[in-house]
Amino acid sequence: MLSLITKFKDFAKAMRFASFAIVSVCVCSNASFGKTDSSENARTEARFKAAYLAHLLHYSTWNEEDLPSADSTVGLAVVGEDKHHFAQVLLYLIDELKITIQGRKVKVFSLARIPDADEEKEMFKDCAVVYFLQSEINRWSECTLCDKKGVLAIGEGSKYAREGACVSIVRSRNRVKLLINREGYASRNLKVSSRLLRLRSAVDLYKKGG
Amino acid sequence: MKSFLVFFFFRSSVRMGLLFFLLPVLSYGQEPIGSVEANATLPKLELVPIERNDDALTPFEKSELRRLFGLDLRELARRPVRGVLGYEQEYWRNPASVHVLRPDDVSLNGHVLTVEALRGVPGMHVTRGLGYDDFAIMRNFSGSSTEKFLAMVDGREVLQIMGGTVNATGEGVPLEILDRVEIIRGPGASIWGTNAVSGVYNIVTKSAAATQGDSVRLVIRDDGTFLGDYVHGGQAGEDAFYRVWFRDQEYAEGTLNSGLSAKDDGSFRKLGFRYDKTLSRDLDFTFAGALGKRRVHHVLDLSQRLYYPTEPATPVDAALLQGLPGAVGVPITWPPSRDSDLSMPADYTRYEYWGEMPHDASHLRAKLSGVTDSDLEWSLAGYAEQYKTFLGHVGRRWERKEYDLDFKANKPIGDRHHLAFGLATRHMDFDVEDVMTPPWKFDTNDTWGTPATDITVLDHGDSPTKFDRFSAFFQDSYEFSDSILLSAGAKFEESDLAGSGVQPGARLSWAVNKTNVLWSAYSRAYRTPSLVERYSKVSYARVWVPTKGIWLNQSFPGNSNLEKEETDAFEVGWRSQPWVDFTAELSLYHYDTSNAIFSGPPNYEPHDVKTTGGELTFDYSPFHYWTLKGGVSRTISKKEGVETDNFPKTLANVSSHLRLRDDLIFSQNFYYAADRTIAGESYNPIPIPAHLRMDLGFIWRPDESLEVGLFGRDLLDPHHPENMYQDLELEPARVERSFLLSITKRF
Repeated sequence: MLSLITKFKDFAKAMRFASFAIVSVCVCSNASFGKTDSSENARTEARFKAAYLAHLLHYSTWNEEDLPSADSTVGLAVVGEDKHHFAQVLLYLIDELKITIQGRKVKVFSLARIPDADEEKEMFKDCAVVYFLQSEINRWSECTLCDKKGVLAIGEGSKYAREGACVSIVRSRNRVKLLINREGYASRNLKVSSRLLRLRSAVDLYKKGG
Repeated sequence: MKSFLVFFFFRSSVRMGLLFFLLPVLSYGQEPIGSVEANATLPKLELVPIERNDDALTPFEKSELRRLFGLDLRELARRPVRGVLGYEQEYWRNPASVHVLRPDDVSLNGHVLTVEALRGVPGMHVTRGLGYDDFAIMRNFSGSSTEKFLAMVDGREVLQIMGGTVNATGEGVPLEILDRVEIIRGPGASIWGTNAVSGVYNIVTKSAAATQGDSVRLVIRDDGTFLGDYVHGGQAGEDAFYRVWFRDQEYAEGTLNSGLSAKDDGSFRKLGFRYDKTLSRDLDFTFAGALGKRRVHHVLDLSQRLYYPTEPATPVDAALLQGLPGAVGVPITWPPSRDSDLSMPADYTRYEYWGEMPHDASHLRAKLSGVTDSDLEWSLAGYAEQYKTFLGHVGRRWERKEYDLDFKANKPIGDRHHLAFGLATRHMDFDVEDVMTPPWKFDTNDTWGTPATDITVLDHGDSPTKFDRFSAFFQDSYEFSDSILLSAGAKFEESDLAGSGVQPGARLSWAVNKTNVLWSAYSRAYRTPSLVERYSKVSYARVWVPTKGIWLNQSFPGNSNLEKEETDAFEVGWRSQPWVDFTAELSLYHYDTSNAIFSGPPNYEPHDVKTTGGELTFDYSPFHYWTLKGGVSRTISKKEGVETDNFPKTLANVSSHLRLRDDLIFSQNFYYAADRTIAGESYNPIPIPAHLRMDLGFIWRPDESLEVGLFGRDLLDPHHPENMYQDLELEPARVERSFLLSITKRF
């Protein structure tokens, strides 16, 4: 027992040093280096989100009437300020892995911002998916063209799903996950797979008032 | 004066005018902050088709993106966006020499067990001995059998501290539940722990949710060796999954290098389970365990253990034949000799004793892990293990009970730091019993000439049997910029076997450009001497004293003063991916080790050893239907300034997979090992010639549920030797040409 206590005392000395070192690092890191934009982290996050989006296409079902003919191409629009080349990341994934939407090839477009109410009403005419980047989060509620039937509306940030979009891709606790609004799907004539909804480790369900 | 004023006024007017007219031009495209000019119009909004720009992503990023998409959503959700250097083994900026094996590396290459797939890892030397023992050594370290790297299965250390070895067969898991094997070449003590001197390998199994349904894998060799695995997975409630599995392995008898039978047939059976539950958002619980039983026999060669005192010593049978005065034959307790065409020293007669070697091992593992709102990832794990074995050939029975508690955490701090830290404690309790084996049950005298009838081959005596270890580590990874990462940390340890110690390490990674990364590292690591090296007195030789008519026991004590082996390791590396289908890596290292112990009695003296070497690896897919992987390693080691030859200086391997049809793959594997010598303190050194091995196979995968493989292994020669336990066995077993059928079916 005595030797155990002695051993633990020696260990505790080492731990005091380790604790001091850890605290020093934390203090130094926060005192000396404020938050700076790390584009590598943002690019990593973009890759995660692109992988999620590609999976999501597989778990979503469109009404055939809302899609063009089987040998046509459908559009996937990326809306907003694309600082980290999310559209290119998505295009690479779609091209390399030959991702389709119910057999239709996918073409990726970019749109600089959410359109105003008086801008062309057919903006998303040929799009089956519209992905809203974080830059548009505050304009989402003003968007009158964003609830078109047959268009899967996905946004970066939980506000999108809470305010009517089908899915939000959110980053929380150093992970990327999905927040799904089933009403968002239903109102756009879309279906989401129950297999996806059961993946609680990857998916949260948005409940109104919750 | 008047002219000057006019000129000055004119010049000023021109300047003001220019400024007035140019200002709108200079301002074009720059929107004043917080305001929009009156009557300004936004550019017309339109959908712009994105054209593919291959420079938008680096080849490293493209590979990572493919890998991310290959994960299912459950696995993707578990993956941290920002990781800790040293944890994210597939991150291209990782400043370490990393190799990852996946289940296909086992099944497509005709390997029966996961440990065999380590042959395809440059820098690793995997050899087969008697009784289907596999020896895996990394980077020319330590001799033939003692592993000086840290071996782990799901975070649980599996190095046997008694002999300093790993029972690779006993720690194997079914291929169906294997997710990957991460091999880190080079010391990684600051993150991984003690004994990670030449490197780390970590077997990671899949979660229970990822192995739902049933699967069966059968592997049959032409000599009758058989492996069968059955895995069943199911759901046990919302967010709870379970898995149970069973393995049966039957070993056919092998053949020694001389052609005699190896008498090493046996069996191994193992049962395992795992239960995973998501307790709440980002809080997971895992409970797992396994129970294994192995039954084989092992040999102690007796041919050179009884001597007549001449210079050099003469075996007693030879002394009798030579008519040396007072010479006697071997005692009647000795087993009958076996004829051998092995070229043994003149007048030596071959005697062998086989003892059964039952081995029972079981463990339980529980882990709670979570992520907090502040991105702190943490895990708390506990392990309990019991290991019982009887080395019947040397008469040692021992049981180990072990309890571990381990806490780890990591957290990003700001945008640039990522801190990792942890605490662990371990308690081991041994019960060692040394018994006499029949060959040694004859009257003898101990070293001091006192009659003794109970001198066992191994004797732990009153040496310690309880050992504790406390450890802690911290590591900080700092991103100076998007291209420069620095990771520095240390492990602190207080242990009964190794005393107090600090194992620091620092690693730097520099992304030179989009396709090249350079890295360098310094680490200090140490290895704890095994219990046999420290405490076991070995008595496996006796000398006949004709003048007194007695046998005198020869004992070789362990060295309880052995200090930990300490290695200072310097490494540099270069990683290049000029395009997404081609990767090459070069790693160079220099290790400076003090107190290095080379396995095997009777000599446990420490030595200074310097090891220098490097590995070059590549991974290339020239066409979508053809993948090539391989590497070459070169290593030179000097013990007290003299070059050693107990590890092949050159190793190379190439693996090629050709997709002949959508459902048919042709696999070709080549392995080369340069010559080496199994040194023997008591026996003649055994040369192991250089050998080139070729394995070919066809794998048919008609759909995701069925795989059938037919392989020919070691096709270039009928047999060759690879390894053995020096000073215990007289000769190695043959590694023979063989044919193998494997069938995997998922239901």
